[in-house]
Amino acid sequence: MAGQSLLSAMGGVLVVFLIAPLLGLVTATSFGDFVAGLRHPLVWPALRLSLITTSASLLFVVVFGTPLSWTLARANGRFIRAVEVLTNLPAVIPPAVAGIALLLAFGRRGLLAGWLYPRGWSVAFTTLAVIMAEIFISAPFFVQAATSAFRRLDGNCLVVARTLGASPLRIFFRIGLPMATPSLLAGAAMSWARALGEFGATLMFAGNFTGKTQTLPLAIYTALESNLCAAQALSLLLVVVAFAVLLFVRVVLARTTADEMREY
Amino acid sequence: MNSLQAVVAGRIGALYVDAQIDTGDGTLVIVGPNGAGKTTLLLMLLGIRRPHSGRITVGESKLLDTAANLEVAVENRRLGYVPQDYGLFPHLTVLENVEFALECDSTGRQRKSRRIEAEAILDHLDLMELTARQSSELSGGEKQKVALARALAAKPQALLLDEPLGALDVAARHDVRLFLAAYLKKLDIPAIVVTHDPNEARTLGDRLAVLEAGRIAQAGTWEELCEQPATTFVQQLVSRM
Repeated sequence: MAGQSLLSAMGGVLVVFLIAPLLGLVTATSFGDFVAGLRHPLVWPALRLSLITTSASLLFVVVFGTPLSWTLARANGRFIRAVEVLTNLPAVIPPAVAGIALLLAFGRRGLLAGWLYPRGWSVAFTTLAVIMAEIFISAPFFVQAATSAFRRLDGNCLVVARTLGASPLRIFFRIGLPMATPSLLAGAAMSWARALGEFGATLMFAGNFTGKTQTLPLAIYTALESNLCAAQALSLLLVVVAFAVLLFVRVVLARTTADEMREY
Repeated sequence: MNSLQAVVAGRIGALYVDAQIDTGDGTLVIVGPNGAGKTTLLLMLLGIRRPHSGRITVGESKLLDTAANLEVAVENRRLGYVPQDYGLFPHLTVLENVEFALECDSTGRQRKSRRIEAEAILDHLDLMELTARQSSELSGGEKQKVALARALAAKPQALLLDEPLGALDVAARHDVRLFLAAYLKKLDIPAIVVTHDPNEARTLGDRLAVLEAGRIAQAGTWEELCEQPATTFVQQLVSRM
């Protein structure tokens, strides 16, 4: 009993540490400050840009990440394992490193510069660069969730579908995709939240230009120097959004688990 | 009736399977202890697992002939399969599960015509009351029948059932066994049933093939096995009845 209390107390230390900054943010911002902060001229362009770029990056990640995850989950071999590790890499490398890597690939003196720039495709320091940075950083969150969701599918269902004469595309669209939908939604929500919070790679690869590349996290960074009230309001907004995403993921996944349990 | 004949050999993991089977004019039960390679053999017939060498035919239709470099893809073998846990698609209703099988043929029929046929198949198996249910709302016996209906909807040239009573509780097992035995007798395609249970082996099959450590230890009718058991396992199998 005493041992359990000790373990709980140790866990409590971490909980307090994690909650304290959030509590500080909430208590330091009155409702009036929050509303005033949101009226700051930096806020609306950043909010608008963040919504546009994260929607675009999420669309790209889901459209291309879902088939990738299906392939990773269904195939075997060293090459496939290597691809899986590589696609997870952006989730663990520091965002600043990601920014440099993106510059060295797509920047004016990057790997693909000889192909991009003569055609007039200037990528770095544009809104497109913001989207690319968000894709690079957030894709692994979706791919990991989707791959493990596809791996968890009942293999017998997929075998039966093949014996019934279903083509690979029909199995993907009619069986695999609908069966994994809740986990894919959860993965997409986590990926979107990560894209929304993207800062380091965006700053290095896209810069910090109002209305063009200044997303919400960059606006917080900028506002911190001139208007603390706006920085606090934007931070609070992002915390609320993050909390809503986590809540959504938990509800969706809880429902999936309940469905799976009912099967047995 | 055509018969399904197969000679397959191949290593899957630690097990080397080397078996020759023939359903003859009816249902062949493959019986054997756990780990003997029964499911692996079924998966080789279906084309999910690839034997190193072999020949599989159903009547005149060749599904595999490694000597002639011929291998029909899983999707085109037209072998109906009911796995042990039935493999019903959980996001589809009973009717949609059967409709899916009809969707997969290449005749390009209208949805309405597929629905009418799916309902006729379900009606044939007395499942019309269940059409709108999801698989999670069915009993084990009902799932079994729906999986059977779905497999037959694709008009297979042979039917393969893996431990068809394995996932049922004891109370349901008796009724479903009687139903299956009667149903398989009426079927006009060859069937293979895999089981480890001697009671099921005796009632479901016309002929039996006893699989031990990847090889067919003995094949014949139940009576032939009783008269001259070839191995200790066969002796124990028939004496347990």
